Amino acid sequence: MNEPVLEMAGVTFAYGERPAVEGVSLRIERGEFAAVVGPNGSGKSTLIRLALGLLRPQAGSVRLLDTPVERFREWTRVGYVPQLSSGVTGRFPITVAEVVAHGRYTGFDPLAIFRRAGGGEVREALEAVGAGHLAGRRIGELSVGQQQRVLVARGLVRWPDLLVLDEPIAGLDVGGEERIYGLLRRLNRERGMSILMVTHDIGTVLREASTVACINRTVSFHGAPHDLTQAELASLYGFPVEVLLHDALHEHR
Amino acid sequence: MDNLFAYSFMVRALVGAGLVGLTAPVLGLFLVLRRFSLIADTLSHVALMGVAIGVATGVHPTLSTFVAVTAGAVVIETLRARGRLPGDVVLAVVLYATLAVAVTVVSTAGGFEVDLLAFLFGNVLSITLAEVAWLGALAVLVLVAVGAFFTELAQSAFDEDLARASGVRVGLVNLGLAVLTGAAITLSVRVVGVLLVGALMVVPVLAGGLLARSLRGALAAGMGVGVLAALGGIALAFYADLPAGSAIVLCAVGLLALAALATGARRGTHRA
Repeated sequence: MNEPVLEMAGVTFAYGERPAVEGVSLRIERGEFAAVVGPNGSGKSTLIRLALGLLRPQAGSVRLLDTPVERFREWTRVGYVPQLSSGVTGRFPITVAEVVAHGRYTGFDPLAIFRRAGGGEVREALEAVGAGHLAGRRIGELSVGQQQRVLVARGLVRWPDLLVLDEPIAGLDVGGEERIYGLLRRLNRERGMSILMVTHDIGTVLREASTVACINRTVSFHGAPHDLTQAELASLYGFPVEVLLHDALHEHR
Repeated sequence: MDNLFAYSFMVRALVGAGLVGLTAPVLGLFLVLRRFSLIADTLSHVALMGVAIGVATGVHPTLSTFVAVTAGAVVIETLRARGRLPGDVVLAVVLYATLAVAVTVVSTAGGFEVDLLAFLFGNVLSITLAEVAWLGALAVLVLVAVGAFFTELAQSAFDEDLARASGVRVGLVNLGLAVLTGAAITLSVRVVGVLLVGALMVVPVLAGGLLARSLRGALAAGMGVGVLAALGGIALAFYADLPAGSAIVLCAVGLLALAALATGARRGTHRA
């Protein structure tokens, strides 16, 4: 068994009275491409925020890269790509290069203001997501899909051990989706980067992920995608789900 | 025409206003980006309460104002960070509560001997050398603090969760910004007054945001517009016999309009 990059044990969190996640236990191992699926409001984003220590669980514990998340400090080893549903305000005066450069943050640096934002790492990360030509543009002037790619570049700029993405393809066209999935595939298979991704795209989960967790307040399934049955998906979403895959390795299940 | 520089009180006013014009947009940039620009207005009303309490109790008004504004800034930031109330609601509650306290103190104290209008609208022409020195010290403090913590401030303004997941201590950064804003408002009240200090934090920043593409560019442009507005406003007040505070803010609004026209024309040229 590989060492874990994320371990959640009996985690419960409630906004007010109603628990968003309840008794969730989840283990993601190094080199895994883990996907989290579930209907709207099922606690997927809450799970991600708990994993990163952005929320404190009311019960249970979270360990990130073998450290209790409340004591975790090695943030350069973790890349985070948040959900970007409404986009960045158009008038926010910040360039794409500046946003991506923020991903290089390693702690207090009083001279950071004098450093150039568009250095080699920034350019490399932007080119990896096909956004190298956008470096000098204001992020607020871009489409939501382009902004999403910029945030993926920000998460990648330090080439972290664990990349956490919350619905990274929201707002992307088919070409943009394929570019991001292709990139994640390469990062996972060639660089051994562990990936934890929340998504609604079941087809992609079955094609790309090495493990999948189904969540609707509690985890109803966690295992290999080929073990996920239509009955489990139907139970998760509350109606029959039929997944069509255009992949020779998978049959229509 | 009279020479503005022939009067030492005008030179002090120019230097004092220039320092406020330089400092206010530096803090204002991050407040505007966090869509928290009304904190300056709220804190300026807290300042009014501080002045009223100081005068009523015999404490030096600058000291009582600084204590009130800093406490107000900490309360606002704490309430906002806990997330029980939205940021704009917190600002509204603090603004009305402190304004009510100020009015109550003024009325129960039976009116003030000091000219309350000087605090409401500023009186930069009577600024002392010691006050200019305080403004200079504040400018140095703000520039050093914002320069040193620029990345943390920028990340916190862009997306607090993303900043936290990068290791930025967002709570401390926001608290530091709130306290510096409180100090800046306390000292700026002498120059532009309680009612207009918020304008000097916001209007140059909006102009800077139009003129520059990057965050560092917007910071530099905002500072430039702030200083120009302050110096232009003092000159306008001297030659046109206008109140200095309102002349400074009118200059800032004029520069914002020019920036909007210039950027609009630039876009038009690009389109053509």
